Order: sequence, then C-alpha cells, then structure tokens
Amino acid sequence: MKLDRRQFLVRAATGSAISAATALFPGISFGEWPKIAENSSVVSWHKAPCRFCGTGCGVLVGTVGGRAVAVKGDPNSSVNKGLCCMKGYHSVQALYGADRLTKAKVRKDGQLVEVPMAEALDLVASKLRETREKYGKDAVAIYGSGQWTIPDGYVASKLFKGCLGTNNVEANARLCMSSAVTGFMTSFGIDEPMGCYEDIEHADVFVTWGNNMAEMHPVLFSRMLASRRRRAGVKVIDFATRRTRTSQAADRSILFRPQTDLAVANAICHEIVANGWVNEAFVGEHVSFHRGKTGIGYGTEDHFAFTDEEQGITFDDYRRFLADYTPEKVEKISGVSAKDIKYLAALYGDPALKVVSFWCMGMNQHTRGTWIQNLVYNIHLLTGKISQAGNGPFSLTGQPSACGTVREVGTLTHALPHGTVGNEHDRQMAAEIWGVPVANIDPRPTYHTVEMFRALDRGDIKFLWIQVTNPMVTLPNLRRYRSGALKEDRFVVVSDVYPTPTTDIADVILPSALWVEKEGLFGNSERRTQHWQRVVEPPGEAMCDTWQLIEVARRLGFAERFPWSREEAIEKIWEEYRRFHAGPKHEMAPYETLRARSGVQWPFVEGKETRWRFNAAHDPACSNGKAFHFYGQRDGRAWIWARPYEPAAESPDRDYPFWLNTGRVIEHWHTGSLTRRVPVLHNAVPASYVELNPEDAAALGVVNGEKVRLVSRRGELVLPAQINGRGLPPRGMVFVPFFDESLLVNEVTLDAFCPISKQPDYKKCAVRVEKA
Amino acid sequence: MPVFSYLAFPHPGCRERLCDALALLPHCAILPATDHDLLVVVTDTPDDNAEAALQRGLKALPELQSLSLVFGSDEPQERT
Ligand code: SF4
Repeated sequence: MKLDRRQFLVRAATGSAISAATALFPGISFGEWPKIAENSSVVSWHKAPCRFCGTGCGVLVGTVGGRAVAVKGDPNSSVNKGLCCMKGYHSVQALYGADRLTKAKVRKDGQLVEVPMAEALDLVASKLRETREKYGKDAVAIYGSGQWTIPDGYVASKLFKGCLGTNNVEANARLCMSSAVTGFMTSFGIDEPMGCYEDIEHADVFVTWGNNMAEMHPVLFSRMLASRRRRAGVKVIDFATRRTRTSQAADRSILFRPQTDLAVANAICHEIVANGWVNEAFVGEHVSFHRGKTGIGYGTEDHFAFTDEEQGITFDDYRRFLADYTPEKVEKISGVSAKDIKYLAALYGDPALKVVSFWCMGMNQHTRGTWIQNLVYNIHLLTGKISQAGNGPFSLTGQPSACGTVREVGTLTHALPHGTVGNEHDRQMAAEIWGVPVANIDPRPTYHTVEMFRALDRGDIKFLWIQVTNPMVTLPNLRRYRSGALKEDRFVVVSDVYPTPTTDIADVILPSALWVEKEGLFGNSERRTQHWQRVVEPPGEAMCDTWQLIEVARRLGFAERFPWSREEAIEKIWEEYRRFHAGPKHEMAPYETLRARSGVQWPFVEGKETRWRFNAAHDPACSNGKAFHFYGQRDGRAWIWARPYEPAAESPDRDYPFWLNTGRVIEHWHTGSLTRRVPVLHNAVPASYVELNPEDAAALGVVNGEKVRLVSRRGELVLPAQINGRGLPPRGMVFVPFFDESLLVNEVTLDAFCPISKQPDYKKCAVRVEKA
Repeated sequence: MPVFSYLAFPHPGCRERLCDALALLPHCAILPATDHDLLVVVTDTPDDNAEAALQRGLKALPELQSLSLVFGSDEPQERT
C-alpha cells in the first residue's frame, strides 16, 4: 500500500500516540491498527540515537524522498523499548527550520558576508596558524560539546593536543557533568556509572536527588513509573529544592534548602551508622575511608587554583566526623525534618530494600559538586547497595554524548582518550596511536571552561573555535564573557546549524550538518555507544564538524595524521580511537557491531556487554577473587569521604533576598536553538518566565503573567511571572528556564564553581525580585 | 496544515459520549483503545482557521478529562 506524504504524517502521528499509550499502559490494545500502520512501503526507517538528552533513546527516523519526516521509538533499543518523549518525536523537524545556516560567512568591515566554504576554511586555518606563530600555542583553543559526536571530539583532541600541542580543549560538558566525573574519580578512581537502566526494573525505592526526571529524562521517568505500577510497594521519593512534575508523581516529596543536601547526606550516613545498618562485611572487604581539604573556596577570581590533599582515616574517625550531623542538627540547617531524614536513612538502611539514587544537574551544578557525589556514594557504600541489579547510585547525564564524547574521548583540558595529560604513560600511548612525537603533548592542563573564557577576555587566548554549543547563552556571568569575546583582536569561529547569540559574535560561521545528515556515534548515560548512518543530505554547503576539523588540519600540514577518505572516515576514526580503550575495563565494541545493533554497552568483552561494573558476576575486569572489585583505586577499594557541609558561594541577604535557580523545561533542548525551530515545541513554551511562590507573588503584588525584574550583583532581567505553573519554588526562591536567547538569565547568574571539578553552580545565587 | 496526535482521557463513565462528541468534530479522527479508557485523537486540519476552530471545539468538550499532545507537524517551510 502506497501512502502520500500527508497520509504518512497522519500515520506517524497515530503511531506516536499509540507508542505513548503503550508506555503508559503496557499491553494496551488498539485492535488492528498497528498492523495496518506497518504495511506502508513508502517510508524507509533508519536507526539512530535521539539527538537530544543523555537518556540516549534509540529512535527510527522515517525518510521519504530524501527528507526525514518522522520519528518513532526503536523497539530494539533496550533504553526506551519503542517509546520517545515529545522532543524525540519532533526531532526531525529541527532539521528544517527556515533560517538554517547553509553557507559559510566571514566578517568583513563588521558585516557577516557569505563566502564559499573552502574560502572560510582557508581563513580559519590561516588565522589559527598566524595566532599560534605570533602568540604561542596556548593562544588558540577549541570549545566543543557533549553534543559533538565521538568522531568530532576525537579529531578535535588529536588536532589540538596531538598536533598543535595545546591542551586548550574544553567542552560544554564541563558545565553539565564534570562534578560527576570528579565524583567518580575520587570515590572509585574510574569514571562513569557502575549500573545500567535495567536497575529501574529491579529497585524497590528510587530517590531523585535534585533531579526533575519527569522533564529532563522523561523516558526513564516513564520507565520508573511503569516499574512502580507493575510491582507492589515500589516508591519514588523526590528530594529537591522546588516542587516539580517529578514531585507531583512521587510518593513523597521532601524539600531541602539549597546547598544543604551535603548536610542531609551526612545525616543519613549518621543514622545508618548509629542504627547499626552498616553492611559490615561489604565495608570491611571493599571500602576505605578518606578526608580532603576543607574551606576550599568558590573560584570566582581569575587564575583560581586548587589541589585537594587526600588523607586516609579510620572508620572511627569517620564516625566522629558524622557526630556533627545528627538529624536534629541538620534539620536546622536544611529545613528537612529530623523525621524525614530518619525516614530516608531507614529506606537506605533496610537490607531488604533495593535502592537507586538518581541525580543530574542538581548535584553536578553545585559549588561542592564533587563532595555531594562523594556523600551519596558514601550512603550506598556503607549499606553495600551498589553494583547490583536495582541497587546503586546513578549519575545521569544531560547531553546525548557528554559521556561518549567528553568523558570517554577526554575532550577536557586535563584529559586524553585514555587517562590524563599529566601521566607519562598516557601521553606515550596517545603519541603512539596518533603518530605524533610524545613531546607534542603538553603535560600541563591549561584552562577549564570558565577560565578559558576568562583567558579570552584577558587576551591570553586570541583564537577560539566553538562547535555545537552556544556559550553566549550558557556561560554564567555572561556579560563579562560576551564583552571579552568581542574585544578587538580576538578571532572567534563558530560551527553551528542556526544563527544564535554565539554566531552573532563570530568572525567566521561554518554551517554544520546536523544529526542524521552525517554519520556519527554518541555515548549515553549508561555506557551505551550508539552508531547511526547518514540518512539525508545536509543543506547547501553544510559540513559535518568532524570533516571541518579535518579540512583545517590538512590546511595546517597535518594531512598524514588525518588520511581518511570522507566515505570511510568515521569507521577509521572509530577503530583508531578504540585502541585507547583496549582491555576489560573499557573495551569498546567494533564498528561493525555498532552498525548492526541499537547500541552496545561497554566494557564489551568477548562479545558480551557489561551491565554492572565492579561486580565479579558481571564485570570481566574484576580480578581480586571476591564478589566485588573496585579496581579503579590504588587500594582496590571504593573510597568513603568525610566531606563537610559548606555554604553556597552566594546566599540570599538583605539586599538580594531570593535564591535564583535555573534549568530546563521538557519542551526545549538547552538553549532552544533547535527546539525553538520546531513549531509544536516552540508554541508550547514560546518564552521564558520566572516561577514565583504564590505567597512571594502576593507580597510583591504580582499576578500571573505580570512583568518581574530580577536583579543580581551581575545583571538584571525582566520577564513574566509564572505562579502555580508546572514548578513551585518555596518561599524565597525563584526559578528561570534558560532556553530563551531573548531573556538571558545567565546575565544574572554567578560564575562560582566547584574547586575540584571546575563546574559552575547554576542553581544558586542571590537576587532581588521587583515588580517591573 | 497541521497534523497533531493526542492521548485523550475521558471523565469516568464518559468514554462513549466522548467518542461520539469527538467523531462529530471536523478534521478529527479517533482510535479508542479496546481495553482502557483512553483514546488516540488525530487531527488533520487544512489551515490555521480550521485548526483554531477545532481547538475551541476540543476545549469545550465536557466529557474530556485531559488531552496530552504527543506529536505535531505543521508542515514547516520547505528548504530551498
Ligand atoms: S527522553 Fe531524551 S533521548 Fe529520549 S526521546 Fe526524549 S529527548 Fe530523546
């Protein structure tokens, strides 16, 4: 049966709704319809990971006549089992916005004018060479993204670190998950979650730590609710600073004052120890105790530097440390009642209950981001609830390839595809695989993201290439960094698919291919690598970011290091990159396997994926002969850290009496540059707003939709009030989504960061709220 | 020329009346689940006026408890 395009759209719409209904009510029947729907020969379907969030749903992209027209969930993907969220279903429309960038542009006499792509690439290469010769290797930099494909990030790292000899490689994932990395590295000595999404079907209790999963990881949230529907007694506890859609669906919603999650986590451990709920066999075999520096600062000044100093301690030292965190004392700091703290501790402490803790930006974007990860790991380690089906701490990631491209490829200043620049063995490995002299790879890290943009402002960096990200919307304390980027002798190249506030400050704009317009690989939150093929052509002269980098590398004289043809490049890059991860701790699947399957989890050893790391029954890297082996740390144990509660960098005071919290909404992806081009998503939430507590609104004399002015020490913003909308902040807090480039909340936020991870805290600064 | 699909939940005991009421709305097709109180509603309108009229019609249905948008396409401009 042949369908015209319109009939096809109707079918796709119907199919999507049926998939959504099936996710809500597994087994629901719509009679004969599904059979009819599949019986169309007009559409070809191609597997890909979703372009948007770190859940990493597998999708099938339907194409007709060279155009992508629909998306459905891939039933072969174990992530989403055929389901998508509203962003996923509409994702192909993001390819076809009317203002898509199709030609390169170069700034001439202050104006951006169209030029052939080859001319723009020539200019990028010559400016890069000239800057490097005149100001030194560390005057050039690249800033990428957790939405870079794995080959994009790999080629960027090889070019900048291996060939150009600078560690000026960073990615926006620094802003979204670097605390997760340092949390893993300090507690386990190795990055990325031990568990997998299958935990959702096994856990009895879910605790979401500052994580609005209903909007940020909607398919996982649906999976969690489906698991609760199917099994008696399953509970969801939302532990957050404001009420959200996640709180509404939870069995219990517990609010804490911003930053005091540190104190509550310690109080939970206090209760576990005080009540004899410690899993002594597990702790005795697999855990050691440590402390680091305290009073560690907030990084608000240029050139801020911090190095932690680890010291081993005993269990008794740790017990004494916890004495400061009785539930009654912590109630006063956190606003969480001692009863609720004991309730949480009892859930974690009950050996009969399997508990999963989920978190994402609430714990990552935190001036003590590394510490709070350590403290939640402490809870799971004390109780031995880790690395088993349904028992585990689970750090979710925001972007589709923050794990795959940034954490695994190592596109951060200190990192390499295997290990760090400071480690001689890791440098030697990189030099050998890349075919460059080892002396090319500088052992000193340079700038983390915030410091990279400070260096651009100061003039220490003169040339910056930005790919697949929109820092002129996302950087905290944005005004400083925008004016820095606009200074006279700075040269900024931006590769993107639509005009954004970042292309506005560019000297060269390179039009990029988007998602299924190129071949690529992403890696999601559960160590799953997903490959996709190019299924439609990019528009005009748009070019994939990997190839833009290769074109520039060749112009700089590095053709031998990037010798591949365009057709074979992605396969060759993957197979070269995979050499970095050889061995049971991180082995990646071969290209052919990834091409054939809807995602493969690493470590992929002898044809088998690893579901639970550090568990000898599942993980081939365990070699100590025991049930668990935390092989990342030098003592073969997981580390419990005594980390105190310390206040936020900036807290409300008399002049600025409100907390400002920022984040996302389900309809929009990050800065909205894609989703605002999808009419349905844009119309659902066309502009940003400020959520106010109804009592605060009444005190200010503000009604729903009325204009409100937020003022911080850095800037101000006027936007409409939303009262009793989807989110409900407590009194004394406001919340603003950051997707709207015409209402830049980051002109108000503070560029304080976790001294260990260097990840900024977008969840806490102080503002004044006025009726505008 | 928008195409949308929704999940429609009737008020308790109103499933049949909701099916009848939706069937009377122009540019609107329904697919009731055979074993749950839930309907898939697919709308396919020729222009913005018809879409606006249909939206008004949907909002006025007393039998409808909630309507959740799942999919939407409004034929964005073709790329040249
Ligand atoms: S949950 Fe995330 S990955 Fe899945 S469809 Fe939605 S946006 Fe895409």
